[in-house]
Amino acid sequence: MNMLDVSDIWTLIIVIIFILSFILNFTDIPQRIQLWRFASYVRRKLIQVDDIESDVRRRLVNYLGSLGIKTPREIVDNFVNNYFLIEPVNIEPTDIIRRLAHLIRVRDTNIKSYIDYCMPGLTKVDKHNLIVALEIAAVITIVNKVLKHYFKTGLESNNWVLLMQLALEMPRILKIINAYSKALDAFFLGTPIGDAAGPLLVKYLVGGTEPKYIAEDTVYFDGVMLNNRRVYAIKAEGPGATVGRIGEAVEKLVEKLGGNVARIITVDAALKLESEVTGEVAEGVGAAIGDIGPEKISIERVAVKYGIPLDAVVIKMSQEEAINTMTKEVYDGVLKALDKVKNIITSRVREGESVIVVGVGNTVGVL
Amino acid sequence: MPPNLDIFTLILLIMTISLILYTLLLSFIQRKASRETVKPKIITKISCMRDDYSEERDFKKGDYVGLVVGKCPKCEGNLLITAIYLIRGVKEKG
Repeated sequence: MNMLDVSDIWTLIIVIIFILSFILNFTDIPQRIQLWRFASYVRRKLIQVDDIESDVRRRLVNYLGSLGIKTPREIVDNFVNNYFLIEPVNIEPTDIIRRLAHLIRVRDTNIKSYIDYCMPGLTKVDKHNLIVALEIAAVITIVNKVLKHYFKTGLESNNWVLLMQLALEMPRILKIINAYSKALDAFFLGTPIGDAAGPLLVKYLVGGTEPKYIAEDTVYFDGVMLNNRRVYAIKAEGPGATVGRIGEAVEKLVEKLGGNVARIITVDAALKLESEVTGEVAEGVGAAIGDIGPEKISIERVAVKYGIPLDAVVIKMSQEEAINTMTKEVYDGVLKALDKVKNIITSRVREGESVIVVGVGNTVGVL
Repeated sequence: MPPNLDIFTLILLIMTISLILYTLLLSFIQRKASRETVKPKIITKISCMRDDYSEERDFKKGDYVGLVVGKCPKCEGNLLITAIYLIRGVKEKG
């Protein structure tokens, strides 16, 4: 083959650039290629999500089998495909919180009835741990369904932007799904999770004081004295996995004390920003509680009714740390938060006054 | 340079080799990373109620914070589980 001379080469390059420019600017070929690339990537990630979902169900079925349940697969399938909650009407906001609280409680009661019906004789601790484990399986199933919905919609409508967004979000979503999958072990074993930081702090504060019932799955501690200040403490009833009804409990306790409370201090786990360190403790104002509304508003309303200052102490952690077995860093954070709470009590509450400390979070593994 | 090898063929050849090497290197790095797993360990901390004795052991199913697990060898007070936490292990090849 004869070698091309320099002018021929430049002509060839210019022609190639022209053709490429035409293809890039006036055809859908680049978008088609991107669509194909993103779809292929998302498809691979969806296979991983499918594997995680199957693995979670398999572990859950085995766990139910170990509890002596005869039809574990049916119980799991029935749970994950049901028990949705339709949010109340929000264009008429009057009493929306009461309606939402009512719906949440009805759902909780239905789930507990389902567990009692399918698995009679379970201990309260096993029942609570199992409910959370089933909720985890349900969450992973729902996320998987939603991801597949967007993937198929994107493919059907050749919407490469939708597939690109999905592809870019997939690593983060997979990370969260993996965290949920790992969290299952914590609930099977009954170890405290990161979110148990609040209840654990209360346990350290009250020591061996006997708990008293105050609201469903919620207890309070009375008679704890700290430098001549009377400390009342509230947490969910452990060691089963439950968050209790903290707001209702605070409301009842404040009313019971006739509003004679100098401060309410809420302690909770908080999601850290990427630049923050796990176990970092921060203090602020307000109700540190991560519920969707009813419990938090109960605390705020009763505090406003009696003019009680609300302090918030949070222990920072990642989402993965919040739902998995408590790490040493979070545990160290709890000890630091305990010092901070004691400091708030001694510096802002006068001798002879009362204070309520609320340990918000899932009390799994903490009595 | 061989007489029948022009500059463009050479550039194409170098780019192809670089691409193959990059792909191989990337798959080697990813495989190495997936082999290195971190094995965490759950620790149960047991302390005397009078705070004069404490010990740590591996977590056992049924442990929870606040559980009385025995008597203190020093003062005969109750021994309680006071903490359960996870420590990250060292990286090991699986």
